[in-house]
Amino acid sequence: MAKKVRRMESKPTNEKRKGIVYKLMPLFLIVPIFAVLYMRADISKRRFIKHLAKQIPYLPGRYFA
Amino acid sequence: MADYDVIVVGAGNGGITAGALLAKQGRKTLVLEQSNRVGGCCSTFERDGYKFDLGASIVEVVYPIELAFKKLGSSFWEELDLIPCDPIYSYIFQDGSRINYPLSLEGTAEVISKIDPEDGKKWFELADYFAEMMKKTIEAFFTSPANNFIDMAKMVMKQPGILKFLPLFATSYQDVIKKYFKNDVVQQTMSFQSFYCGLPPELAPGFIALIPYSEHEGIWYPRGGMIQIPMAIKRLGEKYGLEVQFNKQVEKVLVRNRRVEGVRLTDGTEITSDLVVSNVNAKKLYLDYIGEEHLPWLARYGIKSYEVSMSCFMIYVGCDYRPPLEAHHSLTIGPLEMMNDFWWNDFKKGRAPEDVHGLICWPTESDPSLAPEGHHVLNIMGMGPYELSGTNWDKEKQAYAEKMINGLSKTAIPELADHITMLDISTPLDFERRLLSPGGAIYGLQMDIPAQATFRPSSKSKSIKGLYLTGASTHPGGGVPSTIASGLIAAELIDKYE
Repeated sequence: MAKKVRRMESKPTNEKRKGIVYKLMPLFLIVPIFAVLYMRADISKRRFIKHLAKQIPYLPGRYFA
Repeated sequence: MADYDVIVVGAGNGGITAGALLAKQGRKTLVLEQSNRVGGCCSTFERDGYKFDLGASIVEVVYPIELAFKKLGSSFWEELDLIPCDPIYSYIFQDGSRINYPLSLEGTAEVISKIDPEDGKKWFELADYFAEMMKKTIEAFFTSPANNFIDMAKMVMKQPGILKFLPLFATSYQDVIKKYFKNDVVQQTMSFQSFYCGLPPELAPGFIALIPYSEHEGIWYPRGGMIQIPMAIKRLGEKYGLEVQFNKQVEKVLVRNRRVEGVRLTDGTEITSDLVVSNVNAKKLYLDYIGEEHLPWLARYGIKSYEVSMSCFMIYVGCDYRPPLEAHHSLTIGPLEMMNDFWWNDFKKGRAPEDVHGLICWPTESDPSLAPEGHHVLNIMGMGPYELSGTNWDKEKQAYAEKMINGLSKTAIPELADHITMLDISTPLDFERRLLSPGGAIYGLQMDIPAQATFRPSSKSKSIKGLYLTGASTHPGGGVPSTIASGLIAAELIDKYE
């Protein structure tokens, strides 16, 4: 029996790059929006946000505590 | 065969509640308490004829407490003589002037309206909002486990109305208060309550703004002292065979192959059990009593990341006159910004505050039996960091207490210094020694959003089989109703899984 050889046609590199950009687009929008909101916030709000944000890396560990 | 089905480490509210309920389940249960009394932060001690509450000073949000007593076959209202407290607070401003908020919402609105008519109307809006929140969340949040996202989803399914209050989790206590009230004086009357969760107004989560309302649903004082609550639970548990041993300090929770096997006391005695329920601070439990070597790396990382909650500086005063106060609870207050400044400029820098602000509890206003006739007791609670920069509390306590007393004698409690017959002090170091609580923490662990619910150490340990947690450092958190609720939750989880 002849082996069926599947050929995966690889995407052209340009199209791959476009796919990544589209996927990261929301991040490119969210981060500046968040940065503008943060810069416009008063000092109390910034402290509140910083206080929460600095604990984000701990959340996975705390979930399993 | 193990010596016991369950060993409970610590007879604080959470531990004694879990122990009593587990005894009722028919499990051979032993509670080991390092001190000579039950209650932990919710206990009362006697000195020279005066009775002082160690920490907790009133009881409110009674739903979980009522449920615990009901499950034990009794009634909270019948087991204790609960004295209603009214007014809720007497607020003492920096210039010595004061206003009182009565129990009734209408009465409080009247007081606020005299200060600012618009804020008087807003008071009802705040009250309605948080009344709805309490109605929709207390049962679900306080009596359901929050071990994982599935538990949280079940909580929401049980009461979908909770979702309306999600914005409170993305905003600060200060922002909620400022949203309702524009007048600085009115804001001041709500500036201190964020510290009941151990954080200043600008860092405390928005749902803590429930507190200025929740006390209007009723606050009570148990005749004979706060210890009457855990004592009543102990009494009920003993009817079902609960055994409580005092002056027994646990040194280690014995673990093999990530399963509990019992405990070892400081005197070397080992007692075996199938299950262990801990009422110890979760950080101390996992890192000291169990040992890091038994924990998966991710759990170890998570547990180490917690900060313990703030502690406090407490002065216990016996006096031979009726102090010129107007309520069971008085608060010496200042503007919201002052409370925030205290946090960043004093507390975080290891400095005891220069100004006196905090809670003055006058339990003999409600229960004269706590002191000899004609005498009164006061608990004066100030805030102070655990570590003092360049010194320590053992060196500073007397001088600091004198400064506080002298300061209060000028405005809040005139002539107090001339009438003191007995004085004792608990600094953060003393709380650490008395309660074996790291950092002298009075609320277990930090109480902000990243350390709440499913991100708080789980009621059913995810790392060690047969280990369950109660007390302030697990869900739902610190405070009398929360710690009792934690005991309820632990007992139900054990009933379900073991």
